Amino acid sequence: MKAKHLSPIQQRFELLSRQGRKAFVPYLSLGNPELGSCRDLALMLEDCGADILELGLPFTDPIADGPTNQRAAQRAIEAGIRAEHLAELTAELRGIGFSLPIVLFTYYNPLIQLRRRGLLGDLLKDIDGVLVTDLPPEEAQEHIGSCRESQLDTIFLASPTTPSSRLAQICAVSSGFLYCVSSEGVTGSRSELPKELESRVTELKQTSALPVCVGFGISRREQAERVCQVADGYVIGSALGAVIEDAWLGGADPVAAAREFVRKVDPRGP
Amino acid sequence: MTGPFDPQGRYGRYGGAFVPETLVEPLYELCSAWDSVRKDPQFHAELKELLSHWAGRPTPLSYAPRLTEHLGGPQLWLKREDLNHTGAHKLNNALGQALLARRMGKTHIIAETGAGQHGVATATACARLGLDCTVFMGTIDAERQALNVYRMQLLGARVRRVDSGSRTLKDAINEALRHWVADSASTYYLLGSALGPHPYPSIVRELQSIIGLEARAQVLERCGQLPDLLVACVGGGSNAIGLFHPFRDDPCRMIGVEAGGEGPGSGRHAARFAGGSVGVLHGTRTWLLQDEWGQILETHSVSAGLDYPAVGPEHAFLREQGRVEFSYATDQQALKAFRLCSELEGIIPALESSHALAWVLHECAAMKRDEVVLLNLSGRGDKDVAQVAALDGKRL
Ligand SMILES: Cc1ncc(COP(=O)(O)O)c(C=O)c1O
Repeated sequence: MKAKHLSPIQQRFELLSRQGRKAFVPYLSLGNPELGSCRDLALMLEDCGADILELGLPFTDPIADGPTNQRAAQRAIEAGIRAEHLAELTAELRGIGFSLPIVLFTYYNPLIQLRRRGLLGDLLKDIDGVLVTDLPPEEAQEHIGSCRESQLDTIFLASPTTPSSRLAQICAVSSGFLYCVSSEGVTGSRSELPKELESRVTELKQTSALPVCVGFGISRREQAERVCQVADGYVIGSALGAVIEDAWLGGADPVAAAREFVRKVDPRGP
Repeated sequence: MTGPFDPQGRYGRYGGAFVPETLVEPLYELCSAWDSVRKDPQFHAELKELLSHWAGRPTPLSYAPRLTEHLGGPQLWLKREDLNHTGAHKLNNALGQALLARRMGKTHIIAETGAGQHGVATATACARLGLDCTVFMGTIDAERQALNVYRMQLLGARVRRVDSGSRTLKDAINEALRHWVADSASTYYLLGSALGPHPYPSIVRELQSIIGLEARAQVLERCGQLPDLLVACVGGGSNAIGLFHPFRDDPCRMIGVEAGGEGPGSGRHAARFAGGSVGVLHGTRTWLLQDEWGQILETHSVSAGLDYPAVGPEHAFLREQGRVEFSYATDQQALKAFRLCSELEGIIPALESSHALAWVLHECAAMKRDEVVLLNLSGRGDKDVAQVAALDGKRL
């Protein structure tokens, strides 16, 4: 790698740190509720001050996801949405000036097949980082190699069950940022975040110079606020997905509903 | 220290531990607990005591004279796992792992089930050992195996119906894994086949190897020779690996029979080696049924226990090594074998085991009369009777 070259994700965190701001990282499940609305949702999120967009590529067997994300994935798969559509959406977004870094959030098997078919570089060309929920660093050599080749950051997760002894290894293979899983369990809203959260984030920050974002279970402003006290950013996934789904099922405008939700939840001042 | 990423967890390019970060530490804990328990003579004594005086092992090896005559070729011998307590080989694994869980201080056991046999075996072991038990089962499976749902409930287990995805075994595993991710400290996940992340495939193989160990001694005693051919049905692959493993260094041909459903060309089957490719599902790298985008395909089989899109990683390896060959039997062939075995031997076999028998009936007629075929009759067919009757247009 060139000495001075920063990835889009790194650039974003540089900017945030110069401004003394925290990152807001919303998650959208590709095709939730429909492919077309994903574009409008992404544009709205950029407009609302999001810093990084996480895009979920659906998988038939999402073992790390709760009911909201499961339903979103199932709907998308039934609608025939595939990695090709991810490439179409991200190309379209770039074409109309969407400038946030995009992180692909998925499971390993769809990525293996893209790699096997030589499509990884092509279909992920407008993506900046990849997070694979069922791929621990110990199994990830091949994945890391192909991501480096395609100039994709590799984001790995640290969870509450991760012993301190493995943190260094997780940090060593991560680039862009570290994803700190707030609590045990699958994606989905939690009424309470665990009390050990602060000490875990502090430990991660002592282990690595990478920015740390906290996700899983954040659905309320107080939770986002608490995370922003210690971490470099917060992720909102299922709670946003649920708002989008409810609006869509109720015949309301998902984009308007999501905008209102983000305004309520995002604790960062202008 | 042993762990989920050890070389023993790899079978050539297959196996491994592809799990969410939250499960890595629980797998380390499981690896080290298993490692110490399997070296502990007291554990083996306890397991042996229960297997012999409660579960009814060893199971017999039966000569099948009328099927042999019908076949007109080799001698057919049946390893009678149908006579194991709860009616299938599944208890060998469930009991061993339940003992392990108790030693680990886990109070809550979760398990997935397809046909319901592993769920019943787990509920049974938990009842005997005083452990709390929850079994996840796809709603489609719960419907076609209603008898087993009620059996589990009688045994004191909770049955959680899983209504996501294809609503079968694969979705039950998804839900069990999600549950484990949420509460790994007090929960033990008792996986029912030679699948999943390391160390499960090796734990299950070791606990099921009792099938092959007994069968090898029995066939040597009864026939004075090793079998020429070993045959077993392959869902995840636990009864097959349990039979095959102790014969691995013997000059026996080994065949695993997958569920051909309505035929591999139909798209409605579970013959991973006939229509699949390599990928990662439920924590392991193996052969599976998937589309070109890596989405897992829905499977079909008349037998719920074989209706699963991935095969155990060691089978993928043994096939690549040329040590085990794989074939399939269709629904129709299996149903025919089911009836034939009932009528000619007085044994109603499980639909799963009927696949292995169907393959023998179809492929072995040309073998010599002094050759010995050993078939693992992995379970009894009582659980399948209502379903077969329904296919006949009869409601019981
Ligand atoms: C009687 C019987 N045989 C075979 C199987 C298939 O499992 P495996 O391939 O792990 O032996 C099952 C699964 O439920 C079963 O109940």
